[in-house]
Amino acid sequence: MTTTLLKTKLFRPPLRTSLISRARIISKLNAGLDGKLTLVSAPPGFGKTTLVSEWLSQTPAGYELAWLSLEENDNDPTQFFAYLIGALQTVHPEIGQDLALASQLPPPEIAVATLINDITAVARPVLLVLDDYHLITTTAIHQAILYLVDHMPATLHLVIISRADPPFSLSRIRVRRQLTEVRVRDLRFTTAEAGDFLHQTMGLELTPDEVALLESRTEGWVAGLQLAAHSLQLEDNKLAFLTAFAGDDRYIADYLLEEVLAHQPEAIQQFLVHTSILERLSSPLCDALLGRQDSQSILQLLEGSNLFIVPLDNRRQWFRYHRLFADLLRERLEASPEEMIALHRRASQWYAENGSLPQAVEHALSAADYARAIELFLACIPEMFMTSRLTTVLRWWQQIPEEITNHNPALSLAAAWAWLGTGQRQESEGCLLAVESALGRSTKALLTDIETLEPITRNGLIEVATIRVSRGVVLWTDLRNTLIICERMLPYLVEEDQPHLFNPPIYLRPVILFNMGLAYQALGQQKEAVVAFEESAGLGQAQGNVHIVASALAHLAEVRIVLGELHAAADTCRQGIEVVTALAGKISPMSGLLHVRLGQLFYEWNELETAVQHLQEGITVAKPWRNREALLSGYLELARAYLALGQDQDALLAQETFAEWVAEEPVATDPAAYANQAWLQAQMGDMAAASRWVKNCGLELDQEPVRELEALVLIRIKLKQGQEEGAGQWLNKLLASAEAGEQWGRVVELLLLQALIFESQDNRPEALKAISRALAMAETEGYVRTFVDGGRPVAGLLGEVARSHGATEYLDRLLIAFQANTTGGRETSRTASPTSPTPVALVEPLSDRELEVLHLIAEGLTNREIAARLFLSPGTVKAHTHNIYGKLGVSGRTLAVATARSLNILD
Amino acid sequence: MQLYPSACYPESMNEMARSELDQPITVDQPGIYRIKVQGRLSDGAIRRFDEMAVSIETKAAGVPITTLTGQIIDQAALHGIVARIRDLGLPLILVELVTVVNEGDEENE
Repeated sequence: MTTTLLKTKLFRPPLRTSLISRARIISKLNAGLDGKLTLVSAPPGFGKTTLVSEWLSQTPAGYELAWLSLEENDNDPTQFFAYLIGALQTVHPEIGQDLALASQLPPPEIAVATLINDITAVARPVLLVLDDYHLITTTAIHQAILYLVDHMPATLHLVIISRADPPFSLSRIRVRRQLTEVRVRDLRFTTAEAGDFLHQTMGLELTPDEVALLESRTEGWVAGLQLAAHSLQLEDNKLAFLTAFAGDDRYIADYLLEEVLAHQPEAIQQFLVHTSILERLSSPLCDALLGRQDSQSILQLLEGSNLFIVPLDNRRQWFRYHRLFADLLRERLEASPEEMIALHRRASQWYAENGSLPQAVEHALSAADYARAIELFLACIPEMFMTSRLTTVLRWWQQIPEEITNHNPALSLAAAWAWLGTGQRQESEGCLLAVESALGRSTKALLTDIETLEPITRNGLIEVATIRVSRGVVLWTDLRNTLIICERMLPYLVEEDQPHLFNPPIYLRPVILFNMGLAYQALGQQKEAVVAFEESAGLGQAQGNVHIVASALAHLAEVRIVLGELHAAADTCRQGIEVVTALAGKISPMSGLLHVRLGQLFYEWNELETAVQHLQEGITVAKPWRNREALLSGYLELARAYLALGQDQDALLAQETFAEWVAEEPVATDPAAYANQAWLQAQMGDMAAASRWVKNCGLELDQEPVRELEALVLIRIKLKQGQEEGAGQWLNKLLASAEAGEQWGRVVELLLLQALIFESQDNRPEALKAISRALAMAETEGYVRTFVDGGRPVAGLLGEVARSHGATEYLDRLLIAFQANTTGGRETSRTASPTSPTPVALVEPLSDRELEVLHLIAEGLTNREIAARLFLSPGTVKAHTHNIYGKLGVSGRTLAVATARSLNILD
Repeated sequence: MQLYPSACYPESMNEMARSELDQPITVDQPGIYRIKVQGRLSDGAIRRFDEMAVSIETKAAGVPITTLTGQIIDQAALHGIVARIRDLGLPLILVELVTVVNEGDEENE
């Protein structure tokens, strides 16, 4: 988000010779500092900016001043925030630092929330002025400011200067008496003030009647009085002027400005009209525009007249016209369009030569010089994309007629990426179709005759295919075909001076490799996925593409977990977090998934506190960006970690949030999320929900490719339901393919399940064989939770292994972990049945509340009835029952009651 | 700000008020305005116009019309309301000054 800022916009306009003392309003403004917001809202020419500038020429005691003069192009939220932060940093450099470093702007409300935090942290209160707020028309920015107003920190006072009220309701803040309004009724000159102004400031001698006439004709409009006074100063026949003025019912501004302008020498008139196309004026720019050398002295002259221009800095280098005046001047210029175009061209050239490409583009577009505009546009694309000013890119693109953009595939590609970046896939696809049509070939040609395509056509089509692949629209019917087209393109994405339309092909390589990695991962080809993700991350890092680095490394870690390389996976996560922080700063959505994966690893190693820390960090980072992938995994693993810690309320909360995120997508687009949800429900004791999922999951044994994650959940739930047969069939299938794919992490997981299946079929020898194999594979990487979560039967098997083969350090460690496991493991019903050895006492006694719930269970009440009886929510009761089952080592209410009776907890 | 339920301004009274609107309004004067928007404002959108009384008129055939009526303090505030409607993306079909509010009127209500 690093944008070069124009310092003039962060500058309180210097005070000009005071027209009249505004003490009356200034005391109102000072009183308003007790509230949160001051709104100065009036049409142009009422001296709003001058008033606030005068008020703040001596900053109210205790405050520091941050000023931002807004312009039309600040409607790009990225640019708006860059300037907002810039303004705040003029007083406290630490405000918005993280935000300024972020690779892209978070949603505006989040950005504001971050700023509020920063502002709260600084000691001295800030007075923030947003001038010309009416120029903002972007809803997202209004929402952000409304959010700021609603959550105003105690150390901030906001002043909004605008021609119209901001388009959101201020009644809430008004009712709370936190709003001070300065409106026309305050700003307009009273007859007495008009008299003072005309006599004292302008040195005119007028009768009370004449003053009254001017006051009523101008309705106290400050600029009108000022203009009239200027004309009167130059007029010999004051009476004639006043009579004509009073009798004319033309729009008063037009009338008076015409008058004033008519009194200027020809050269000055021309200077004014011709430079009116400029947002800002400086003497070198004006010289270049008009082919003269004396702009400096003209600007000084104009400033001296105190009427036309406003200085933008203390060194008097930059000025702007008074808006009203600029509008009138521009209207005059519009009468000679050719001249206007020539001026815009020259302005564009000057800005291009002076290194301000965006302004150069704006003027070229105003000149309708599209060829030049496109040339400049493409030249500043890297800058615009690096600073995420995608809204501006799209505005420019939309200003160029369609018949031109459609024939310029480079431009269409730029727009396609920008649309993609702003989440508008439909629009993006429209641009891609335009590229294909301009090139005369579709991406299908990449499959049929990539070798014979012209390099420029080939690379253009490759970029189209890359955008389509990366927005997840699989044009080629399935994953394997996606891989085919990617494989086809890959040899052409190399470091060479290749002709290209937009991105050099080498920049597309990490994107393609990442998507190939995803496809391999989904197909269960983990080894291939590793190679793809590794190269993608390496290249992405070299090219500074933080998004790709983070995504590729997070997925690489995930694959490594499946492959059973836990330590390597953790290293990958740590490396990823380091690289992302270096490239994009702290506030980046990218490191969220990396933290989540790290949390998952610490969970496996049974370092539960550390796991929770990483999971929460990941969630915190990913939440503002609504990064679903990171949040789904994050809440799922967090719920598990809390369960293992025995913090069941926290687990329940995490589960509920997880469920909300699952529900954001339908089953069809994210079946794995629903599978994970079912298993979590089963773990938390809701077997009914888990069984419903099994019934509807639609998994078939002969399906290809195997939906591995879902199948794993199916095995676990079937085992828990006591359907060992069905679980066994699925297990054999998955185990065979995991072994073939050398996915040792998956194999360990599956062997454990296999041992449990054999054990529940009373096949002890096979169960021991399976668990011994699992142990041998698991030791070096330090697996713990995979065993402990298997519950008592696993503990029993491990105990037997220790007895027959001798204890090892690893076995001891696992057995200790079992003992320490507060929830006592989640048992299958079979082992908790009265035939299995019954513990003589509970490891952890039931709480009073749990006992109460248990009694009600014994009475045969449902959870809902218990909830009503105890004035609890059904969710809380569910959490209690879950605790009870855990402590008793059972899986259902009947068994809970039976076990409790056998332990004399219930009579 | 005072709320004026739209029911206080029956159609006929509005017509009368308009035809008899001989008092010009200045940029700093409050007035009661009636604003019509084509389409039905959602409940959320209505909440964003909490200083106006909102009524929605559904005709048997054709598009519903949402009418906002209320006192608006001056022209800058009126433009703020119009910008708010612009941001809704609904077509604005009428902005009408029903009556000028003179100082002291408010107490008489």
